[in-house]
Amino acid sequence: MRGDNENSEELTDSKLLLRGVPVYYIGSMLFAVGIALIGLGSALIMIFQLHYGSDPQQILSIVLSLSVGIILLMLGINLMIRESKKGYAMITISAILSMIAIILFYTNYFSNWYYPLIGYVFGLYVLSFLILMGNAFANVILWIMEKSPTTSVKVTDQSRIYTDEEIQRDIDEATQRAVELAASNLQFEIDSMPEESRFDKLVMGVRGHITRVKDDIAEAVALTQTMHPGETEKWGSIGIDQASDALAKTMIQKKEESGLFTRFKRIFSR
Amino acid sequence: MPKGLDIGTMNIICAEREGEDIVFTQQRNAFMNLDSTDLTKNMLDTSHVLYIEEENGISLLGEDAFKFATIFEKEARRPMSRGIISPREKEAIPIMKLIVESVIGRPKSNKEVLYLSTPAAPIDVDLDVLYHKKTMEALTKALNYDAHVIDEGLAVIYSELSNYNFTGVGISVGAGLTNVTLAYLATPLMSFSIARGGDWIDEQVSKSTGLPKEHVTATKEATSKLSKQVKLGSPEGAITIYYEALMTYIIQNLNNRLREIAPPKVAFPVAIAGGSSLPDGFFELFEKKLNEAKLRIQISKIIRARDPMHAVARGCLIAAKTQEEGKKFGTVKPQQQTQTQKTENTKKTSKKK
Repeated sequence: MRGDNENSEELTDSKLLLRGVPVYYIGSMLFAVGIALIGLGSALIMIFQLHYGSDPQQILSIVLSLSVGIILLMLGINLMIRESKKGYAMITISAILSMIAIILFYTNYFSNWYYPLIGYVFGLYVLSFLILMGNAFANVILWIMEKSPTTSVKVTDQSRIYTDEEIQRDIDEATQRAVELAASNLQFEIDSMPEESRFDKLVMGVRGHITRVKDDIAEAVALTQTMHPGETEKWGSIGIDQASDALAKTMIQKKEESGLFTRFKRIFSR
Repeated sequence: MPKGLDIGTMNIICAEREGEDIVFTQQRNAFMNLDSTDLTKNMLDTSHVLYIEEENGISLLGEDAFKFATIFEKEARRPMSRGIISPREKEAIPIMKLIVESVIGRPKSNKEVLYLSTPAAPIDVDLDVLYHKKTMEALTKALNYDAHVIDEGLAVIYSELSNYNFTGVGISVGAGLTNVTLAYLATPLMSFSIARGGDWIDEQVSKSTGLPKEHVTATKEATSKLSKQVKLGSPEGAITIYYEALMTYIIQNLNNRLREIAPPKVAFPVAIAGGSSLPDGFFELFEKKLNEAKLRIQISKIIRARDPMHAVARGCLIAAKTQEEGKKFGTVKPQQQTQTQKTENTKKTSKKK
């Protein structure tokens, strides 16, 4: 059971690694950009000393940087979290909605910034923000639940369950082995087969179609070595004696042939 | 001298060593009944045909049964069907004993080692091979051989995969059955057979095209080439289609069986043999399908048997020779005999007591 959980975690992590590395990277970049824009917006508030009578251009730049920053921050958080296909769909929808809201705000702020447009724009923006927030919250909760299954529902016993097929197969194999063992004890009497007594004449000497192939059948030696590696084999002792004699003679001859320099060197190497 | 014997649905082949050569003796596994007349007997004697005379006629044996079937417009009967003794042929066992005896001859020494091939248990039909196995073993023991049985797929491995330490998959595509064995260092891990082979292809092509089965068999054996480019409606096209279906079936069943075992994590070569793998293009097509199949084991190489027709007999001969060499040094034999030998040793021990 624990092993299964660990395996599923490893699988999850590997899936994340396989699919999520570029997505995670993009998410973290968006998060950073969002933070930067929020920081910029906050700084502009203080720089421009934002109040009711501030310049519309200043208000526009502050609102844009804050609104885009918040959305990018939420998008980044969502992309960094492990998402399902539905989650990515939610992210896409909210990104589109927020983009529409921001574009509407940018195009209408100076000339047409009245109700009910303000309500629609604000509603769209808030909706996209809430979708992103809710999506992130839901996925985090799901992730926490998966990591700690005891906190959710009682886990059923995950010990191996043998299927009927596997059980039947095991029974068949055991039965077959028992039958083969029993059959090997049988002694067949071929000579007294009733059918054979009917056959009177047989023309022998015709064996069949004969094919002769040159073949050293070296596989037999290889098979013996494979099945019994390190097996002791009896070799002809005469052959070994001859080989030993030849080796000894070679060594003696080599020693005699060695030159003055080699002897000189040998003295000092002792 | 040890011998190997491939008892197939279509052919019975014996392999034995003579000097530096291997001699393969092949005989068709078939017979045909004729009326017994003096004229017929004289003709058969003159032609040196293998036959036997019985109370209700003459039975031609082997290849001649096929030849004379055409002349006398009769059908050659086969003692084996789907790789095992045919339950429909009452004379199957005595006929097979005679054909086997004519192929392997009498042993040159007492208790000469003989390894004979038998099919593994089929997984796609309700058929048991135990009776066939024991009967063939008993037939050959009655001829005074020290007979042992070996799976066909394992024999292919012994014959073709010595360079790979006898590790790999051996596939024998025969007439009645296709045998598959997976072995690791000469030890079989998995053996099975499927009830489709050359005969199945002939039957399906015959049903599909309306041609007589014998005609299809002759076309397949004589002129067939497995190619994607065939004349529409020709028997060659139908043969290619059913060959492809057979290959897909073999690979599917192999993959299914691999689910049930945990093979070592090594690359396995695949060796293909058998009379039904002879047509040109068979190996290339099978290799392509096997590479596309994504089996549960890693395939290192796909090898065509040097002599697909005789590979099983050769593998049996290798097993027999190994057994004989092992006897000299007191070692044990190739796999699959452990159970029988243990039982025999137990019986000998109890007799001594």
